[in-house]
Amino acid sequence: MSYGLTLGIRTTDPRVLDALVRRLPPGWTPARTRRVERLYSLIVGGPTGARGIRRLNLVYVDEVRLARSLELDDVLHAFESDLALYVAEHARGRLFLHAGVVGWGDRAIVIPGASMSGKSRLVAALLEAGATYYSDEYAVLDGRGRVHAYPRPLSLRDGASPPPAASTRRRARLAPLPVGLVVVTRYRAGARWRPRALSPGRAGIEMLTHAVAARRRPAAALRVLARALSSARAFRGARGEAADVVGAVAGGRA
Amino acid sequence: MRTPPSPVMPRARTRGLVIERLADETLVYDRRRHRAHCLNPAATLVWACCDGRTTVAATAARLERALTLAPHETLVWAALDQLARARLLAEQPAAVAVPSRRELIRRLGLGAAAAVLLPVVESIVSPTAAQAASCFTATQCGTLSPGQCTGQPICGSTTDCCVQRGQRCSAKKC
Repeated sequence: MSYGLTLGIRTTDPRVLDALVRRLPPGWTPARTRRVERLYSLIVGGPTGARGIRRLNLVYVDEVRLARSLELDDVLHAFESDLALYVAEHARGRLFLHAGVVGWGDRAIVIPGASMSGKSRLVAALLEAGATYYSDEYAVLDGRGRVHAYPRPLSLRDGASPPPAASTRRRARLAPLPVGLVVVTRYRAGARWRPRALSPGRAGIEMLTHAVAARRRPAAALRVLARALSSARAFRGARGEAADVVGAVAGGRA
Repeated sequence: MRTPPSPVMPRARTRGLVIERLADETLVYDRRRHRAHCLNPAATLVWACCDGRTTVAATAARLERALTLAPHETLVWAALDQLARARLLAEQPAAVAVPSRRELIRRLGLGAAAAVLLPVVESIVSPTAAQAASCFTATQCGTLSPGQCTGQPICGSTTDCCVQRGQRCSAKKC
């Protein structure tokens, strides 16, 4: 069970079960029913009896092949990304936005952004400044517009080590937070952080751009975003070094 | 000599729309076209007057009262033009030449601060779930249609992205 969805996973080789479980969405629990809405089947390949011949690793979702590869990691990645996207789109009572999130005091800072926009780097810099890690992948909003943690390990693309505050191990359950600040930004080498304030409506449009279920559940998406933004400030601008933004956030200047 | 009566506002479209008020702005989602629009306070007010009965002059007067903008019918026509482009009207407004935003600011003698009060309809195309994905595997990338690969990273790679090459999507250096 994950976010109200019942999902099935089976494999031909129990030795990969640990690797599969590590790739499940945060907060999953075992289901009590055998009826599932989506079934993943992993067929593990490897060497055959014949010399120089290997079987492909395959992963299916229901009866459709999702990926095949000689590398087990490739099909595990395919499984993980398809599962995460399915949960993000179909989660019951939650709206998933592609965004980084940290807790700052009793409020959340949400950094919506496309991949490669530099949001993980900004999340890491905020953590070093004392913020609490919530997510660097999805902002998970409930019906009241509060943000819940989606604590996958923080991954920085240049291979840098994430700050210790990003550790997801042995973490106490994080309380959902109201959104206090939305920062819409993209890294641009040499840019100075001179953000413009966004009205709640324009911030809503920016956030909708990153809502996974925007097309599937637009009414719920707009309602949740309106609630989330009811007491939040929002800013947009290109940023250079993450430290400039962190300084502004810490100084209350966004 | 009698002045001609002020034209009547067209009717707003309501079918196929999801509407959410956010303070004095309005968010609108068009289910048919999968486009989302943000109407600023002036555009919100004009759209609310699109009932097929209120006149353009009365709408201009309401704009003046609510937003302290000059009672200029051109403002109303400018808003109607944007609403029609966003396909938020059930009827086409009368064909009236609408000045550019810059010309409007000049004509009304607005400063930079007051210019933000002008009616604005901001629109976006709503993303598909796939477009909002954080990463694709190289295999998944190859199965996407060209419009869906917009540079999402390849899962597990620190250098490759899913981009369009000709009529296909494939993984290559970001």
